[in-house]
Amino acid sequence: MQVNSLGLTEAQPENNVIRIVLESLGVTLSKKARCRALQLPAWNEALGLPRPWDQQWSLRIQQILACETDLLDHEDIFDGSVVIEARTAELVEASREELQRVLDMGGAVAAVDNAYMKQRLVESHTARVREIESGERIVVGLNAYTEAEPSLLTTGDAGASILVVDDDAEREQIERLQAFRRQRNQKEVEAALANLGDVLANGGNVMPPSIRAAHAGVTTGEWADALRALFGEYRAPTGVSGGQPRAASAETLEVRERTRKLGEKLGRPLKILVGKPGLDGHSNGAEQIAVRARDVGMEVVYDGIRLTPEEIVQSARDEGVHLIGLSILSGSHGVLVMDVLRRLQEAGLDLPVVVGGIIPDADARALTEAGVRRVYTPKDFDLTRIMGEMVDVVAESHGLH
Amino acid sequence: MASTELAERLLARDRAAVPDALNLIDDRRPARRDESFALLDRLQREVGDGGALRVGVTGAPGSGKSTLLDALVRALRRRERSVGIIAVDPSSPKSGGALLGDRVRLRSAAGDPGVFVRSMAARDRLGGLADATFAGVEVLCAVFDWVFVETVGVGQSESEVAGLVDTLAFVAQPAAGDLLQFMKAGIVELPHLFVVNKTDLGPAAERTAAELQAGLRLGEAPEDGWAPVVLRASARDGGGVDAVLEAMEAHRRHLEATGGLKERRRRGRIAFVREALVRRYGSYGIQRFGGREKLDERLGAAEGSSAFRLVRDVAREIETALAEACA
Ligand code: B12
Ligand SMILES: Nc1nc2c(ncn2[C@@H]2O[C@H](COP(=O)(O)OP(=O)(O)OP(=O)(O)O)[C@@H](O)[C@H]2O)c(=O)[nH]1
Ligand SMILES: [Mg+2]
Repeated sequence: MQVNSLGLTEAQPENNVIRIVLESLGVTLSKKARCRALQLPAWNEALGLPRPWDQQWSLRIQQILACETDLLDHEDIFDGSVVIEARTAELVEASREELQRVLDMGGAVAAVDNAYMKQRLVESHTARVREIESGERIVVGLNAYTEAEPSLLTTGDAGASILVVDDDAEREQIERLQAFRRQRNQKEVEAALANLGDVLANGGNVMPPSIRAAHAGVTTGEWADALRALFGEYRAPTGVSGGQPRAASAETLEVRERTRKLGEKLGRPLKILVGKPGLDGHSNGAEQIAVRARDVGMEVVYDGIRLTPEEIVQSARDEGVHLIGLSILSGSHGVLVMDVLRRLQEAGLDLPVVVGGIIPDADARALTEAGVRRVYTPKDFDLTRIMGEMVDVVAESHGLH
Repeated sequence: MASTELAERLLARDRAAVPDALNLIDDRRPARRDESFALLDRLQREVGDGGALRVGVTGAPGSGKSTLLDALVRALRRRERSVGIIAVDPSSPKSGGALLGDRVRLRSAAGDPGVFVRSMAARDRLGGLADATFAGVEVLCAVFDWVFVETVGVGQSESEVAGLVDTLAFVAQPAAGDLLQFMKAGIVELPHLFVVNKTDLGPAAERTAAELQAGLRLGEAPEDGWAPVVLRASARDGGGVDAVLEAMEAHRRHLEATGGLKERRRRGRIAFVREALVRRYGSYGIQRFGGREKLDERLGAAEGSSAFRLVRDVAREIETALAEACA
């Protein structure tokens, strides 16, 4: 069981330890509903990857719970609790309803395909983000009790509080892969792949040829390429086009008006591209930015995850956008953003770029120096403010103020 | 003037000039309007009734228009034809913003210079086409072999897009309840071909196709001598896609053989001009000009003038009439 990490904040990250403890109680207190295995995130979840020491700290939470309390000595401590029973019954009922709805659509595959699932995810996240923004939902340290002593966990060298992946790691991994490929029996590999291709083309059972391929040392990439060659690549619905804006706040109306006015000055409404380059599947942030941009009156092109920098630049040019917003949570922002900037320059496109995601401060500075106009991270929960700044960025880039 | 250079480049079929041209024709600033006018006037005169095959793809939301287009693009690319696409999505009436989502399905465009996609928001044209669509088609037609316009079918847009293209395809989903609605609304009279998509989902497609066929027999005989065809396809697995393309080509040949192409384009241009003037001056303005009939007469007599010039010329005449009315 992996507990929720979405609620873990970049702001006052030391508070995350308390959140993690509470979450671990949630999945262990009831003996009958106790998880079999538990993996807890670390206090620096929203900053970047955890170091061994951060993970150790989280591991100790479980060990303290198991060894220093009497939790494991008892039967289910909630037996007879009407409150817990009622709450559980509610959850069960709501889940059954949801399952039935999906079954009525023709099952999970159909519900993915018709965008139902993705739309519901985007909508519920939109509601969550709005609640945080309006203060309806309090997140301590983020939108309430924000005055704080400097965190002693994050002071010091930039990047000293997260795991910094060695630049050589990629090269080494590639070398290992190449070495592995060299020692395979190439004839066997080719025969296994040919066999896989034949079976796929004839609609047969993929398991036997896949097992044969594995024994021959065919890599996951080669195996997947064989499937891709026949079936193409699935593009999931983005889920963003459902749902209409709720009643807009005064701030939203203000940004909407500024968006409209700038559109008039520019001769046509503000059009933006929200892009996710690379293999990063973290779509929540990009989706919320796309939806909110629509809600402040922008015309938004959002093509979902897994785009190449080349595709992004092509879209931006062909679509005639005024701004590119990149969302990257994978840690590969350095390479990918620079790639986009370089391609823009090569294409002679003078378009402002903003970036959001898990971007350590030092990297944010480097990106800004390279020409990125603004960098946003999870502590920037005020989406209306972000929208206002994007309007400013477009205005600035056209010499309008 | 920058538009002269743009026009040259477009007429030389330079793809790189297309984004700039589309940005220009969308630009509302007065100075840019003039440039845009010069560009479009020239393009329409020089391209004339030649240029790309113009095909409209319409149908209910989610019926698979973009996916089908993607499959068509792949088939066309195999034949080394270049393709330009305008995909229109509705704008939110509340915020004025729009999420333009067709590109996600038009994957074959990625990285291929022979394919071009521009998404457009319908803006205040509820359920209709974007203002820039007509002009956009003109730009794409100069550069690409085939031009498609995708628009959600919700009634009004069918007749608008019909005026814009040579061939109109209607994409239906198997067992779509709204089919009957469409038939009642008379929308089935416009498309030249009906594609029942998603045949991979099972036998419901057969039923829908049969229903459509029956519904079509009830309709009036087509005035241009083309009997609409009902086809089955699966945009997902590619089945039937070549037949769709062939039907589109067959309709084009029919238009050329019967001389219908010229007439259809002429009517499309007139419809565009009338629409633009009615929207700008309202029924009062048209009345001052002398009424609908006088307007139609004026437009019908204007042979050889581009639609854009016609809008400009007749707008002046209406304004004079309005000024006289005030005096
Ligand atoms: C939810 C989540 C997931 C979900 C994602 C679901 C989805 N469809 O989005 C799931 C469970 C699938 C997932 C998987 C993984 N995750 Co994850 N995930 C998270 C988590 C907990 C929250 C991210 C999130 O949704 N936040 C909410 C949104 C609204 O916030 P946001 O994206 O940051 O956006 C805000 C700003 O950044 C900014 N912004 C973002 N984008 C843009 C774009 C523009 C244009 C603008 C203007 C602003 C902007 O505005 C937003 C508003 O505040 C983070 C940790 C954290 N708490 O941040 C880890 C995290 C991002 N994941 C991480 C990792 C490692 C993974 C995995 C690789 C784990 C694994 N080994 O398998 C996989 C990779 C999956 C993949 N294919 O890419 C790491 C990344 C580490 C790094 N960058 O160095 C993180 C930081 C956790 C950690 N510390 O290890 N994850
Ligand atoms: N099974 C199946 N699904 C299809 C087929 N064609 C499209 N789809 C799916 O239907 C959904 C809608 O497809 P789109 O191509 O986006 O439909 P659209 O008509 O362009 O939709 P809008 O532009 O939103 O009106 C997607 O999930 C597609 O994957 C098909 O032939 N078979
Ligand atoms: Mg579409």
